[in-house]
Amino acid sequence: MLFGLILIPFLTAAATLLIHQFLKDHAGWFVLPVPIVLLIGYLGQLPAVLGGEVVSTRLPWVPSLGIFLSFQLDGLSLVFALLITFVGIVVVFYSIFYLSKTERLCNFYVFLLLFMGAMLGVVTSANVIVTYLFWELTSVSSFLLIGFWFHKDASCYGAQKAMLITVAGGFCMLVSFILMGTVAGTFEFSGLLEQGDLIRQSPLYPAIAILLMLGAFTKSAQVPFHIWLPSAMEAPTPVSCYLHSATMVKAGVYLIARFSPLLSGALLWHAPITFIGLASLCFGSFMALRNDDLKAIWAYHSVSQLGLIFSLLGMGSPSAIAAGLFHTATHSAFKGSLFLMTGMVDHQTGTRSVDRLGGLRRAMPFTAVVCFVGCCSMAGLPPFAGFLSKELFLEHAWEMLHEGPYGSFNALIPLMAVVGSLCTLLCSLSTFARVFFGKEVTKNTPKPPKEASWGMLAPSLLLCSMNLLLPMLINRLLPQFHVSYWHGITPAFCMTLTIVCIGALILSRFHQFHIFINRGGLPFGANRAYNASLPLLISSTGRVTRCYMTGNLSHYLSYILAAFLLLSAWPILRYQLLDSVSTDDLALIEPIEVVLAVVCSIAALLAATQRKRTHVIMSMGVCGYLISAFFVMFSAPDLALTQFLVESVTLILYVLVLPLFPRKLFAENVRKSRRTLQIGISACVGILVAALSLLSHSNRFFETISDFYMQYSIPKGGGRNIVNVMLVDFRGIDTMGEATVLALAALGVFVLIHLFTDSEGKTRSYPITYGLEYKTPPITTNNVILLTMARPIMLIILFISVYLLLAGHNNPGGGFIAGLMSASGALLLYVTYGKRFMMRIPSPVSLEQLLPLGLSLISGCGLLSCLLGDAFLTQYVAVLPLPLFGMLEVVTATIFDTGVYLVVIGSVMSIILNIGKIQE
Amino acid sequence: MEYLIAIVTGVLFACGTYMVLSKRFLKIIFGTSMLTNGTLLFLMTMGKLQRGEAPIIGAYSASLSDPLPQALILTAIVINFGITAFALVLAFQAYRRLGSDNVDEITGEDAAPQTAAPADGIAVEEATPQDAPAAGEEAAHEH
Repeated sequence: MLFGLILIPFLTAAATLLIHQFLKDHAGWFVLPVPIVLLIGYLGQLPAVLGGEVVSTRLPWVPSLGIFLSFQLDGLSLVFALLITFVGIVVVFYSIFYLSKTERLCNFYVFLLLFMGAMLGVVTSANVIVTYLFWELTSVSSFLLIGFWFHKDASCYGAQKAMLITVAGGFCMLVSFILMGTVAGTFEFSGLLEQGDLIRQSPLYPAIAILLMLGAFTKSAQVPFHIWLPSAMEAPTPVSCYLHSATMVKAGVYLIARFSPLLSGALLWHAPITFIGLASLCFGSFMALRNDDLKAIWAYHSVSQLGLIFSLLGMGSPSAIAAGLFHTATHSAFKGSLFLMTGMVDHQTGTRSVDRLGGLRRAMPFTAVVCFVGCCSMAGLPPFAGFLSKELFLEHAWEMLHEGPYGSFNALIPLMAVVGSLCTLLCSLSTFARVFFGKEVTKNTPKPPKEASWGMLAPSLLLCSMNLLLPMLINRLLPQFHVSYWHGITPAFCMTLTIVCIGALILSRFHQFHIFINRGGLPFGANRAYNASLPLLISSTGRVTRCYMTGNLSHYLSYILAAFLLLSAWPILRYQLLDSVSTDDLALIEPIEVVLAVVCSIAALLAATQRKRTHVIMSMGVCGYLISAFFVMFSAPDLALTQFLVESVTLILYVLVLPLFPRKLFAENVRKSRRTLQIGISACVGILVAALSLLSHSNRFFETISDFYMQYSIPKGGGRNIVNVMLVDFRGIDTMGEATVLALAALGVFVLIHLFTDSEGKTRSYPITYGLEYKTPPITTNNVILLTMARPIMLIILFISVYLLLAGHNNPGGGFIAGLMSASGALLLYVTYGKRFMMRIPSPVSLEQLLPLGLSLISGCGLLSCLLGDAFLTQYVAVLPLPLFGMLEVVTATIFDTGVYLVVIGSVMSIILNIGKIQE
Repeated sequence: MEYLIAIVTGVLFACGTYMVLSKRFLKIIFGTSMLTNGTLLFLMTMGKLQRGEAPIIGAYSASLSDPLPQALILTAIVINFGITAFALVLAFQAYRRLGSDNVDEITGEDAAPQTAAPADGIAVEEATPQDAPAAGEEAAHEH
């Protein structure tokens, strides 16, 4: 049931988006049933909740982290749920008539539904993490709704401000929740409540309480975080009514009320809530007096009235909290109707400025009634609900005078309560008088004023009537919380009387008072701080980022190298690891190896220092071939073959790309200090790597796993060449990944050469030409021997490569080597006869098509084993009797290796041939 | 022997680092290739440089050299080729668009693509329009 109620708004929002073409401008009517159904649904839970039951439901979400989708409905939740759904009905109905048909109606109602669902989620979720998620969702939907008219700068500014402040607060709240969770070991609210003593006595208690309060204060726009609320008034008026007066800003109230049983008791909890609440009360109502825009006036009043509620919550006694919740409901009733009234005035006259309005009583009598009831209720005049809640507030404030824990500050509480209430009274009554009274109907407005349509009046009057009905409803439903208009002559009554008397006195001289109050202004303020700090924040973070993100490759490289040097060298020097280098168990040195090492080093040094590109390439080649010679020394025939072939192909690659780049290898005018630094860094890296190499050789922390491969190569892999068996069998997935990388590199080269971005920013491809369209002469040679011998040699190479592929499992060879071998054979033809010849070779598939073909052989080999019920890429060995020849051993690994073979040929050939194309 | 290989590894790394730290694309890419060569030797020394026989199980093989680093290195060699080729083409395209192969002159947003075709790049001037319209757009205005 509860899940259904939570889901309805979200599902309807999705449905609205799906069918928005059919809704056209009737989206409002489509959405209107949602809050009605929800209200009925929650009312249906009322008897159970009144009977003291807690309706709850729970689904696991991330059980390992203690996060459950749990929801519960107790009295507190139900009060808010009813408030949200009831005002929701009013606002949706009102919006249908308020918003022009040309607006993006679907978006509006989807955002509104999103908000409704999120807000209901906040007040019904019973897991604090889920609460947080819904909490942020309300911020997001508020952002979207404030920025509904996003073409206006003010809307964007307001939306951003609201988002930044409430989300920052929400983040504080999340931290607080997580701290609670770590202390109590659960995120379920009921579990937290059971562990209440643990939380209250924990050293983390101050952090938990203050962070939670920050979340509540920012959401509920308390001083000094109130600044987002007046800016948020750029939203359409129904949104201001719904989110920014009746419901969303009450989320902070809900939060404090919800956590009061858990966290209250300490002065640290009560003092900030009470005094920040009182400060907001006075400041908000004072600022409202100074404003001229109707919506800004009500926005500051919201700050002030929320402050009132907070101070009641801060007083902490159950009756004070109950009074706070009562005022929450009455505030929604009167502030909601005042916003709807403002919307009508704005809609009918085209302005919200109090100075330009006057005498509307005659033109808009029903609107005047709405405003009158709202203002009187807010001012705390009988017989409206606001009087009752204000009376309760004054009563509790008076009690604090004697019972408060703040010593000499106790007196501040009733004093500030009276001052704040006085300002509220002054402002609400004077605003009503200035807008609706006056000698004659104003002519100073963009549109001639006339009464609003019934579609807007009806919901306003409905909400307005709550100012009278609410006390009766409460007395009916909650007999234990009895409110009555007359208690006898109590201190609260005297305070009200004082307020009304002083208020009447000032109102009679209101003009002078208004001038007096508008004088001067604060030279500082939260708004200025926000406006100044935001660009400062952005520019300073930008500056910091630009300090190290220079866009210069050399700088980034030096960070990497510095990190490498520091992280590796520091422990070596700190723990003197070099002492552990052992000199036993070293391999013998033969003279030839010394020669190889010396030549290799010299070649490397030459490659680094030579100025001519051909010299560098030759040095690189020497270096590469010598490494392959080292592999021969190390008894690694597969490596030696691979390295040798790759080195040859790489040389061709280098020769092909040389003409594409400028001749110079060195940049001009490099400073000497910089060159010294480069040499220094390089030397350090070299020494460090040599040291690391020795260290890794000397220290073996684990037994090598090579023995496993040696032992199982024949029984499990069916091959004698251990390296090849590892590649195709034991580490098949690895090889598959590596073949994919190679194929991707080839495709990358292909794409980089064939695709370009045209002047319109679209990606296009050059027409891919195969065949005889090349105009430039191919690379040819007049070497007769080469011309004659190339083809027979090529045939021999191909033959050998096929042998290597098939024999690879038991002898040196395998897919990689065979592929490279074939490719180098083909490249021999390419070098000798040129591209035109290559294009004439009939081939069933193009080179690029070899890549997917090979990859599918590889993965098909893996899937085969899956089909047979074994792990991915399991290889099989079978011994088949062959007449006359004896026994034939067949391994599926050969298929795998063939795939590798095709990928390697395809990649290498496609890379070289495509790069060759650039030159034409 | 291990000491000797360690020193060669160090020299290869030092030269590779020096090349990578330089300014021109081509040299930087050659440098990465050199670093790869160093890495191959480094991996080789990590396993014991047993002077046994090749890791092919035969009837009389007494001691085999360590096959594990060999399997690691084999694919690394081939991939190095692919990556080097890719880097070269990438660098070439960057050079063609930006008109410079000096990393100091190509620093993110500040480096506006120069309008003139690269001065010493023979490739672009000789490029057929079919192959190089991107840079050719600008070059065509000059012709």
